[in-house]
Amino acid sequence: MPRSPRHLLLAAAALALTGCLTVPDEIKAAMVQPDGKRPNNFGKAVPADDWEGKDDGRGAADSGVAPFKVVPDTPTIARAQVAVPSSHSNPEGSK
Amino acid sequence: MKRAFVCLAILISLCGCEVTKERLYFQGSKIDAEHPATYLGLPLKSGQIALSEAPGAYSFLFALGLAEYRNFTHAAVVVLEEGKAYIYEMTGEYNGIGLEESPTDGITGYCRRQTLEEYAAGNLYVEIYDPPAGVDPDKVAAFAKDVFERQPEFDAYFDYSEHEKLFCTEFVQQALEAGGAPPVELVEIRQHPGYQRLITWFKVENKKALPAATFADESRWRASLGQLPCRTTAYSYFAAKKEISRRFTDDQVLGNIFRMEGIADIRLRDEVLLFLNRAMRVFPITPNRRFPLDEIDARVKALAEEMFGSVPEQPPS
Repeated sequence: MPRSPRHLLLAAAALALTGCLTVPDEIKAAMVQPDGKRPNNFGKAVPADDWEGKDDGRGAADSGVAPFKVVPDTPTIARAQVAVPSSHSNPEGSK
Repeated sequence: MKRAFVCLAILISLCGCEVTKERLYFQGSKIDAEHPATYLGLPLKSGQIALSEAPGAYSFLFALGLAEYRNFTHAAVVVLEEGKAYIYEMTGEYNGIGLEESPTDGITGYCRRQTLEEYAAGNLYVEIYDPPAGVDPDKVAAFAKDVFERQPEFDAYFDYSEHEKLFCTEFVQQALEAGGAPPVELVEIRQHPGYQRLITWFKVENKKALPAATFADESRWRASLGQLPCRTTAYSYFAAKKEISRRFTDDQVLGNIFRMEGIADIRLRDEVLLFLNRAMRVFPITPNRRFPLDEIDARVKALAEEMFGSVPEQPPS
């Protein structure tokens, strides 16, 4: 490979900063990070300070990131659809 | 604005350009009387197919593009020349100036030839397969060498309807057909709304794709090598990718899986990276053997449910 991808990306980035590269807003929006409200099937990190337990397999030594554990975040729409009948109806009937 | 540059990185990764240099493991091979060791203790022959998995976050983005998940991100042809194994592949890179309508417009590529060691060192994991029965391996190799001589353009738009320009798996399929293989059936691209917007911007018009895993057949497996310690670890990694792909339902955005790094790169979110790291450790290292795939899938899926919560099975979009 004649040139590294990183080199090319940085060159492209420099041009983009001058306004040459137009990226659709919808593409930028696709990279928005989870906020705890939108559906997210990939969990959220809980810092070690808020978690009583040992290192969950990842620590500062190998990643530069403080130890954390991952817990479920907002469920998918499909999951919510599944959940609604069970929480708002009585499948065994009223007595 | 920073987030925009990820798209350039994505395109470069799709072309198989993301390279890192790590230690190289020889994770196993299948040697018998008909398939003796020929190079570095591996049963290599001209006309075999090399399937590889690129390291880094971009390979996950690639996997999300298929309606049904498939292993591997890249394919190439093995050719033995004067006792040494070489890999022939179609590969592309971004050479634009940032003024293109789409990043894809700035990608150019060529047919590359490098040693097996160079190729493997730049990938996370590589498997070598014999060509299908009835395919003439010498003709497969001859096709690869001819393409290297002709140097056709790289097809950055992944258009399989014409074969003047070639992308990586198209190159391999055409090589197999030159050896007598029948035409291949393409697979559906995922109709996820976010992914569709992305490939529309990339000007990828085909609704079907030719994934590298098309060429994988365990009965024809000959060797594995790469940066992972064993095949069980590699297939645990694949199982994690499969589970991530399954969880990328229509209500998910790419930002649920990826985050920006610096000004021009993407990484897996820490949560997803932790899942991946743990998934690769659910089994012990097992030299020269692999745990059953259904057992690997089940344990990795259970890990995902523990970390991310349960997501019901849904038909692929």
